[in-house]
Amino acid sequence: MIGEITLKNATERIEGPLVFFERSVNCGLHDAVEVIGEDGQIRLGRVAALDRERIVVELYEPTRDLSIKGTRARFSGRDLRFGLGPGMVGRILNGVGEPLDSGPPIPIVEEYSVTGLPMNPVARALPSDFIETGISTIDLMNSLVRGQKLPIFSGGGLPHNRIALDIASHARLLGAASGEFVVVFAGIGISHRIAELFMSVIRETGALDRTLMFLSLAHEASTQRLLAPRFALTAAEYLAFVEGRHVLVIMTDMTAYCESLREVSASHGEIPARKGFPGHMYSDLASIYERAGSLGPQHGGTLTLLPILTMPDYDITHPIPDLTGYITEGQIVLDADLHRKDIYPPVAVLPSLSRLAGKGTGKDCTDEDHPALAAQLYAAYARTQAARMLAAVVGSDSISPEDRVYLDFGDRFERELVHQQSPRQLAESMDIGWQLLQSLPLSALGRLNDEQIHRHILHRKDDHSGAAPVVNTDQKTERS
Amino acid sequence: MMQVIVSFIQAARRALSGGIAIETLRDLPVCRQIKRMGEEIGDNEIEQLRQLGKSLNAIFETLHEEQVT
Repeated sequence: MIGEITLKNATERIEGPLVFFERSVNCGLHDAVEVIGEDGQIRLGRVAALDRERIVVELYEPTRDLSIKGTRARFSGRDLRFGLGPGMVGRILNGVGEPLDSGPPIPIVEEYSVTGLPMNPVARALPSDFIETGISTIDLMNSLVRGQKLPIFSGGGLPHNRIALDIASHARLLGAASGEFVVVFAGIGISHRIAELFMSVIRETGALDRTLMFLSLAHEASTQRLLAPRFALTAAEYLAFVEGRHVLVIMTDMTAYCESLREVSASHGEIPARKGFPGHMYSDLASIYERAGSLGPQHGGTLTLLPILTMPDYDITHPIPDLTGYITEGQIVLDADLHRKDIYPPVAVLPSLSRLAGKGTGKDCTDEDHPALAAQLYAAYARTQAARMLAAVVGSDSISPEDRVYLDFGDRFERELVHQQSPRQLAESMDIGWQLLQSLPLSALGRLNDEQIHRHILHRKDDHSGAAPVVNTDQKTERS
Repeated sequence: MMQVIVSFIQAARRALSGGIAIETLRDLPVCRQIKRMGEEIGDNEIEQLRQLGKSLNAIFETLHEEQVT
């Protein structure tokens, strides 16, 4: 800590969001800096690089009105902090935590570093406990659990913003903890139109009462986009580990974040790596994603992360989804073909995966038959893809009756389970899943045990037909 | 578990070359037992797996006898 020092007449040059000063004070990397122009306006920034001769400060606000002669800098001697206190939920803030909703300033109880405090890996509790998002393909097939980081891989023109809003509006916890649930929403580099949409939908659905929004607009300095997720996560950590709430952080769009990182990195003169992105992008993304987690019941809450990114050219091997996938615990992939078929949400079930689904589903969490149902639907839909490929080669008239059953199953799966007009509870999604499985031959239900087949397949069929339940599950009981 | 699967594949190949229809093999109740042995038996239950292997052999022997007669 060096106290506050103001630097005058030391500006060397200004390049985009970067201001270069002579190195005439002692400061640390990532220390907070206030840069004051001739107009007296204070612009927030931080030390991005320093050597013996100069200090490079990146500003989070536009630098267009700054001049070399009249610019001063005030060094605080500590890293960038965010003042937090109770009563933040329900507010709409910009990317650096300033109110956008004409409300009063946030009552500050304590200031927290926006880089966060790394969790002790030993203190981490294994994420568990189911979060219901209202989306069948997530809840039933790729369940999200508290403390997990599960990204959504989208593409240009796909409705990821609508999905983000639907999840923010409808996500809930099952059981007694439902009252402690808070959504922190971070819009990174979004347009005015999208920001207006987010604000109006969150207000209209009544979800604002349990939502804290951070909106960093596209016209703001690219460096502000680098801070927006950090301010949002600092607030989320406060809500989770100080106030003891269960927090779901939705961040859209991480591609805008990474592109800002590339832009700022190029301005620094760093050597670019894959596709021009900086070589440290992996660790930078990890410093965001790894803030999710659970520290066990003694710390109260949990922090669950749902970042959304758009894959350039729908390329899942692009550095942004590629590096994200290494850090996070699975991914939900959106598909342009499903979107073209007017299926919403267009979640591609087969490449999607939630690595922690097994920890938050099944007996004592959701439903004891939930994991088996998800596995059976997954297996049957995978078989559909093989049947579709075969039909594309030999023609749908030439395929076997068995493959035709799978083609019909796949179409119904997409129209009835993947597609949804409104949010569904898990029980509704499961019910649709069991109904879909009734169209398959019993020999195909290898992921279900005999009891599950009796309870959910044969009994339902008998309820409709009025016949007595069939007890034997071998080929003799197979439905035609 | 791998041994059971390999025995099934080998026995099924022999049965096919002996003229048994693939539909007959597909509809054998033991197929479901093999599909679900991961869930219902598990890797550690060696004795149960051995029993399954034995019943597999018996089923294929019966099939061959039926085919011959």
